[in-house]
Amino acid sequence: MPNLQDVVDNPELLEKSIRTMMSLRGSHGEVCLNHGIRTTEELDALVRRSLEQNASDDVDVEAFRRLLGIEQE
Amino acid sequence: MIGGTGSVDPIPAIAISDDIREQIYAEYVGFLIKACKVFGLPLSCVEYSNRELALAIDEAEIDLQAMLARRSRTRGITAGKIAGVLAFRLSRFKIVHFKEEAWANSHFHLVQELAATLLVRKLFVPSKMPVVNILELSYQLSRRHANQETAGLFFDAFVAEAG
Repeated sequence: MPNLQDVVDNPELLEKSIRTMMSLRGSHGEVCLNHGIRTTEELDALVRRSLEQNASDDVDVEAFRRLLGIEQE
Repeated sequence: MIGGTGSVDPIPAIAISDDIREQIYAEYVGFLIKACKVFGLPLSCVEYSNRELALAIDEAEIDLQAMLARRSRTRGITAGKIAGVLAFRLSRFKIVHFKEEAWANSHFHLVQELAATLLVRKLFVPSKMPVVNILELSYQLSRRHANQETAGLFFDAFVAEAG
């Protein structure tokens, strides 16, 4: 890491520091967990699979209402 | 191109295809009706903005591309994270509007969020989600703090449970 006083005393150090930072662009590493969908096609396939598996909209309206105590209102 | 390195990106940007968009729009309206039934809201009191719904999906697509770039372009992101992105955007855009007759309903602030949660559950979560958890996330999205990735963690847990 460049020392600020050194940079003030030696302009070449600043130039070197800038060159170093410029070379680091795009060097961001990848997170190594929770992988899965990467492309439009994979996303399409995932949604299609889910829609086939969950063909019925099994929303138990009464279960929600009981939990919220709505029938007492 | 990535970050000025001069290399060509071999992986095309992820997009929400027209087919999936049509499915989302159709299913969304169905789940909005279900959410109104849960809270006893007459359907005649509720309207939805075509424009806001379309913009929410546009924004979700941008989020997916950003999340993919941030996490792993080559290895992808989980179905749960995608669900979190959609749930977040579908709850933040001004999609659902109420007429005056609905204003006295004590749960009407949850309608849009419940519709969003039910929809993404169907699209991305193969396991059963308990009603209490669906309501909890709807409440978080409506009244508390949640972003795309924290909502994604919620869905990841149920996707993982399904194996």
